[in-house]
Amino acid sequence: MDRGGSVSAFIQCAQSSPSPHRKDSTMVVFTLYECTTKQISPSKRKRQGNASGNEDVTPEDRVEALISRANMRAPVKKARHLRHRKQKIESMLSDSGIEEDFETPSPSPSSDAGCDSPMLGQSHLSTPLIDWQNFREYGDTCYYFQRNNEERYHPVNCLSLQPQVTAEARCKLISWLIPVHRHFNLCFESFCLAVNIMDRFLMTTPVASDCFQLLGVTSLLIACKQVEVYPPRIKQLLALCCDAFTKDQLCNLECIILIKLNFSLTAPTLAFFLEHFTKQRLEGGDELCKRRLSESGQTKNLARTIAELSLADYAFNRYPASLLAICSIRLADQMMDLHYTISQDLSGYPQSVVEDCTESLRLLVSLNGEVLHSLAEL
Amino acid sequence: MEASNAITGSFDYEILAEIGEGAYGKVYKARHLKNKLDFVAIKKIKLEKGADRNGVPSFMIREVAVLRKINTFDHPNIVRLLDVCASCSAQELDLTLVFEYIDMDLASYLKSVPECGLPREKIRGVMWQLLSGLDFLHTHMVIHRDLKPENILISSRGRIKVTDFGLARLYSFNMALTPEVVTLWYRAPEILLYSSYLSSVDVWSAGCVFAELHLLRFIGAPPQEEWPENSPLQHRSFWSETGTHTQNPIANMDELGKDLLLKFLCFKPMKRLSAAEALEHPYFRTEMEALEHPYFKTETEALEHPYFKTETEALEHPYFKTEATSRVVEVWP
Repeated sequence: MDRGGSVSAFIQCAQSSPSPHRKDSTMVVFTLYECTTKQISPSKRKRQGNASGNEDVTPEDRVEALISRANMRAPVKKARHLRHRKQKIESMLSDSGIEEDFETPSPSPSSDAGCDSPMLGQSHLSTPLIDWQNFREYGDTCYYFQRNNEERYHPVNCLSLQPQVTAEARCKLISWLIPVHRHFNLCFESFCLAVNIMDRFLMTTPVASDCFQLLGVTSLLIACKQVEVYPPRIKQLLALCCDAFTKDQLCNLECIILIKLNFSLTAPTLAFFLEHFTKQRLEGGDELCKRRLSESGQTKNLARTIAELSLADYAFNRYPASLLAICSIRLADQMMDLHYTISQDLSGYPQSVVEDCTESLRLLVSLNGEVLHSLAEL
Repeated sequence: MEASNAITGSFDYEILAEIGEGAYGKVYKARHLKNKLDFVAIKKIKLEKGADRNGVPSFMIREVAVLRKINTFDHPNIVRLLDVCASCSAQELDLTLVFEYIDMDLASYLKSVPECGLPREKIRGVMWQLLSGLDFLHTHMVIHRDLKPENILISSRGRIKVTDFGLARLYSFNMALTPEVVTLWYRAPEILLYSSYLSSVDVWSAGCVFAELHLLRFIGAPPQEEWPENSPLQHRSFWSETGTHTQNPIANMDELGKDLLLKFLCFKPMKRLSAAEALEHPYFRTEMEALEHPYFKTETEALEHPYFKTETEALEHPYFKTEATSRVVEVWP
């Protein structure tokens, strides 16, 4: 069984199968009509997807894939699916040498401050983490600037101009990006930024539905280039899309996104606000919380998972990131049955607004109960 | 703001001369086609889309994204990005960045300094502006990561501008960073030792520049207690004895200057001064209060600059007070 087969099975279960045609079409054209002519009808596509899935696709997979297609509001299903797939993929990757590729910094003489120095034999040494204690006196000022910038980067109703891309498709794509970014060990910041870049691009340009997945991975790549020391390689991302797109297509789209967004890529993210509020509560003399540092760590993980779900659901697109962050933490506190909850005063939002958003999140979580558990374990 | 924020495909500049060359392209002096007195510096980056490339390189994305972010504030000590032209064909990506033109960088400026060295007030002025620029960057979550005289421009009127954001990045919580930053001479010890680092690495580099303005380089040994525990390099492999602190490194530096320098070059990043704290240091204050030396005109100008307004405005912005209610409710149907 070759690597391509298993990856393609993975993608088909996680996402609707991209049409096999795409490979030989030369350009990703972001006008609706060019792409529609090549589109296969949904039912036909489904069949094709499963047929090309090789022996690796078990009957259960097919059923699951169909369920997840039908039940698009449940990012959970796909994620759960990914989890037992994941090990398989990883072992495969290390066989094929892609793993090494992933570990080694980019061979291009590029930028990242010459990560390609021979000094970096031990990769764990090469990426020290900043912990929040180091995030010294500038922390609060940064927060105010981020809050100030939030509205400018907030893509409200980003799908309103899209003739083909629907809320369901967006949910499906983002739900797929969640396990993808975890698979590459990318940080939450990259993921949030990717969603933001994608949404803001959707506000500027109509995207054909069969190019939508390409937009997802390209946004992820751009986000990673800003945030990560070692962004994923293009060929890895393309492999995750069953090689339905070519490298040229991805590179062209990358340029188009950068130009359309005018290189304004520094959106304040949910990840930033989650960290900020968590840090605030620890510093803010919350004694009970201080004593239970480990619990607050768990709360943070849960809050992050809730935040991921909310990014995938288009209904939450209207809430600003800082509001989603404070509400995710509040809900996580409540779900963990803690006797304290984070004070909404930290965010400056009125109580009614915070409560409304928290209740919506609670509903979202209850609809995605399983996902939450499996994601939290990943 | 005269500069358009849109990325344009058109190119209204006439190239006059090549003034520099980097790994990815050349820098030219140019002038505007209409207003012939408007000089600009143009950085042209040409990238062939070879098979080995991972798309647009990170440094380009970061440089332009960072400049886009901070240029909205128009800080006097940060170089201004006037325009970006990008064009993208099947084989090539062309990116042209148009910057304001500044005559000289600090490195060539220092070479032209007479042997007796720079006057102290001059050094003070340079440092004050440099730290203002750094403080501004750090407030906006940007670490420059390659501060050195070559990347500090000085205009004929003595205005300092930080430039070259190719290694800069936005920092945030829990962020992985590569240790391969900052030109070696200016690299802070925590980077050399693969520890985590933050905005304080820029302050270390600023300290190096400070020492260099006195036309000297010096080094001292950190005490063993401050050495990171899990560092791959041992303290004893560098220094046989502890306590070889340099007490009197620079002869022509006054006491306050020495104090400031030692605080810049503090081994432990947590103990190191921040750019904001440095600006409060008596080294600057005494002179500021002393007399209205014509030199300080630029500094007071800087203080009155809209940059400082925006900062206080940001804190007092109604968004964070009453208006928060109405704004958020608006979004709700």
